[in-house]
Amino acid sequence: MAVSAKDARKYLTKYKRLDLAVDAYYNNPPTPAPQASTSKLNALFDKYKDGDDITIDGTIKLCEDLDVNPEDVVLLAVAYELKSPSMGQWSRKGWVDGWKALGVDTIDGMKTTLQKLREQLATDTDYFRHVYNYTFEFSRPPGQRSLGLDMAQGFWQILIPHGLQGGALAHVPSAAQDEDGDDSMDGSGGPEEGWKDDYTQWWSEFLEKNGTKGVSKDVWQMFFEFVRTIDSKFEKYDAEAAWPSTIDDFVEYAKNRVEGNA
Amino acid sequence: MPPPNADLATTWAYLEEGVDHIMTKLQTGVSYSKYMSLYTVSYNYCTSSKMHGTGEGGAVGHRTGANLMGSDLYNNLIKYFVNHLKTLRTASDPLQDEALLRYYAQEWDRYTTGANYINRLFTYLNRHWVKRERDEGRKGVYPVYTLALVQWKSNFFLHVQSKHSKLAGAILRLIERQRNGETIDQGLVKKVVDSFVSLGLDESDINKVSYEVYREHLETPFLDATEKYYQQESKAFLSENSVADYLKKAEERLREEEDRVERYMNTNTRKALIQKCEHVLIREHAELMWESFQGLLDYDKDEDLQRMYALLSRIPEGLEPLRKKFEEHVKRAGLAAVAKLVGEGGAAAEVDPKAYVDALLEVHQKNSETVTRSFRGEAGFVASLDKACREFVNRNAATGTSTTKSPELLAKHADALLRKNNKMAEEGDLEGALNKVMILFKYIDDKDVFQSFYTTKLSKRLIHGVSASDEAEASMISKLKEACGFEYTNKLQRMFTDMSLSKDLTDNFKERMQQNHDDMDITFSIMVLGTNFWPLNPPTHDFIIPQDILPTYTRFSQYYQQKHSGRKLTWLWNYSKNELRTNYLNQKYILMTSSWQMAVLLQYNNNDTLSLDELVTATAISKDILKQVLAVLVKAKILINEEADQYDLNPGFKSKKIRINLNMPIKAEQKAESTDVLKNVDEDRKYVIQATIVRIMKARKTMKNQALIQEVIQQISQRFTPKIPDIKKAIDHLLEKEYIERVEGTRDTFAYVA
Repeated sequence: MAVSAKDARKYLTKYKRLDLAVDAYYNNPPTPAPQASTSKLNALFDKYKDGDDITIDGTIKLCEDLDVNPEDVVLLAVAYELKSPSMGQWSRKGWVDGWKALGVDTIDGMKTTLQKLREQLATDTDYFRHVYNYTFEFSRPPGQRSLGLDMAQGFWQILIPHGLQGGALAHVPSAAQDEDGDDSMDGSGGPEEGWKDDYTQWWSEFLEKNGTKGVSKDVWQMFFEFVRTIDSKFEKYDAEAAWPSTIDDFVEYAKNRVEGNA
Repeated sequence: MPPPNADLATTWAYLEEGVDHIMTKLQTGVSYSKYMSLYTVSYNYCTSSKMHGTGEGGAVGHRTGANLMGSDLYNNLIKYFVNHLKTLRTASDPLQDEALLRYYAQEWDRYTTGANYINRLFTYLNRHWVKRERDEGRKGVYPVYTLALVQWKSNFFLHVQSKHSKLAGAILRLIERQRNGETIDQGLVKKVVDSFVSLGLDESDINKVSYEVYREHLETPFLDATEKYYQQESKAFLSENSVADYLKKAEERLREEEDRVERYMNTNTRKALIQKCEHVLIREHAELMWESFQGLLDYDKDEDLQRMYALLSRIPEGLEPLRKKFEEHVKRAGLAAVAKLVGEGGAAAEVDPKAYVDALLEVHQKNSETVTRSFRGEAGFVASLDKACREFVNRNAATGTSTTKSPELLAKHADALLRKNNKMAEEGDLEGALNKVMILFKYIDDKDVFQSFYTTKLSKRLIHGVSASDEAEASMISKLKEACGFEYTNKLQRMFTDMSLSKDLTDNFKERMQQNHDDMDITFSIMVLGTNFWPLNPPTHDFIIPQDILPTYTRFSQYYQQKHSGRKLTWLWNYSKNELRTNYLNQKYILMTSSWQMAVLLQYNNNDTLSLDELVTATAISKDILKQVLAVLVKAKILINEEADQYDLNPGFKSKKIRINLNMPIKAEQKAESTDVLKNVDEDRKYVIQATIVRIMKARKTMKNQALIQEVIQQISQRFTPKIPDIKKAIDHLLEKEYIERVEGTRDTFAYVA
């Protein structure tokens, strides 16, 4: 019985240990995705396409049919699933393969799937990371190494709150990353707090104030790690670690702001 | 003489008389024949075949059979020694101290001499019976001489020692008297001490010396007494005297003890004794010495410092606190010297480079001498000195938090030294002054800053022809090269090459012009300088080349294009200078001017009065700069500025000097120089850091953030101390440009992207 890489990853992530994952797989095999019809998907694609691909206009129409705001965060997950080559653009192959893997071939089925993806994006850290990193890749203007600040800000404003609220970005205390992972309590009582919703706004303001024009891939990716691990007072930050210097500078900025507000 | 087959009693009676004679009155002499007969009797007895058993057995067991004869003689000898020593014991009992030692030494001499003879007398016994007994593993049987010593030890020596170590005690008391300054009979002590050594016996191999007796009965109590003595003495001494005096005392005591071992103790005692003394005299007071070190430094007590160094160097942990304190001391001295200098000039005033350099050098020199003289140039102190100097040379009251100030001042000082007419270096000692610059240069963190300033200053010296001598320039460059390598001075050397090529070029051009033109009314010389080697910037504004020099300009440009086609000439009017001859006044003057001044003045060949705007149009020099240029000319009274923005030629100009130098640098230019240099340094650094990271990553392929940063610092620190945020920015930049990438799944590991 062949196990798809995707299933294998799913089980391994859930059970952590190989033997447990294998047992679980055989006791409780994944419900085989209902066969989605290639022709139905092609037909749907043709409905929205404009030339070879679906482009902005088609996307807007699709969103209307799916009852989803074009700025809904779930569309970033869809872009990841369907390998959208750039913003508002969908290729036939990505469309057919993507929806087939998700096992749907009707607008109604897609609506349900969108709910599932939204849920997964909010709760599953690894899934969030993949979508987050893909967002940078597909939204970056062709031939450029960095993403314009306004674009980046827009994505952060929808992605970060979504991940925070569902737990995908739940705080990982720095002590828990140590190999022995104990003594994380420092007498302040209660578990350490992490990133707060306001901070996403601070980050945006900081970058504007700093005159940042573009966000590099490294800053984009490391920001995800930073949001997960930083403590709410920015005290446990290690400026000598491998963080991009933009984040170093932000920590200085945020510390001052925390003190000012206290 | 008894017959060869005489029985034991007869034989021994004869032998005993002879033995006693030898042992007690050897001084009266023994005739040869007497000695020979004694020898023969002992020989005969040992070789006689029949049994002579006494029937009772002796102290030593008696065996039957064909054994060698001998045990009876041996036992009788023992009896004799025991009796003999008993009399000595009795005689020694009432004796004390020196009298006891004298008696002991005298008897020891007599006894050992006699025993030697007796030993030979019984050679046959030794060779056969004793040897055989020993071969068979019997303990307690020795050759006769050794037997005598064993008997001496158990019947006399131990007896005397058993009374509160009377013998050793007598020695120790004598030594104490000597330590107290009295004169003692050292020969006597030595004799007795030697006997302690002789009495040691290695049971398993009698030919080996054993120090057991010496150690137990003398060395141990001696060391204990020494410890006690010096503990008391040093404590008492220090309560009444200074540490400096104590140092002398301790030094003297250590020498005395070394001497003592030499004179009468066994050399094996040296190590333990010296260690003991070092412990009591030095280690137990080390704390106090460390504390008083600062005082000695403050008052330049060279000899005391020397002594303290010598003493503390004898214990392993002794010097480290001194090195630390010394480092602090030097640092404080350096900082204070600069603070004083800054204080004198007032906080706002710019520090004079020479005064600054002299102040730093003085502190270095003084303490460097201390290291050589008082600390024997020991490497640890040299390191402390270097560390302290590095600290105060780079960060002090004059530099504030800037690490670029010191290299700037040092480079300026070097510039002053290398200029013509400098009054600072006394004649002939320019070389010495340059060497001193190098002393400080070694401590400079930001060597690249020094390099930039030095390059700028050198370019000025060369362009303006104010360098003192080519020889001195070359000497300085070779020093820098030696310190920092070829790369560091490459540009500097290229500058000299350009200078000499320019000279030839000027000559050739002149020659050519003389052949082709006869209207060359202008003296012209040119320097063609490689853009990459000279820290020179072209003018920031346009410039209309005055008609008067345009032909020369054109001719040279053509000439050069012909010679080197493809090369681009950028004319640095802002560095050029000119001489103008006046014809409009009664007196002819020569005006030495900048290009801007020249351009302005030439306008007055056709006009007597010009407005600011007209001048701007005529020269294309920007208004702000032109105003400053005009201000100098007005101040010199060449031009008159009575109405706003109106400049008239002064027809009544007068000057005492025929040659008038108008070519003063304008303020904006001077100020810009420092900031320019520093800006260049910053740019260079960014590039150096990036290049270093790429080089490291290319070699290592992947590397952790921390390790990479450390490696970068280590590789660059020769030139300057890179700041971690700057390194991180360079990493960011290289990540963005995709020279390197973060290894997937890690947060802190980078990989080289081929």
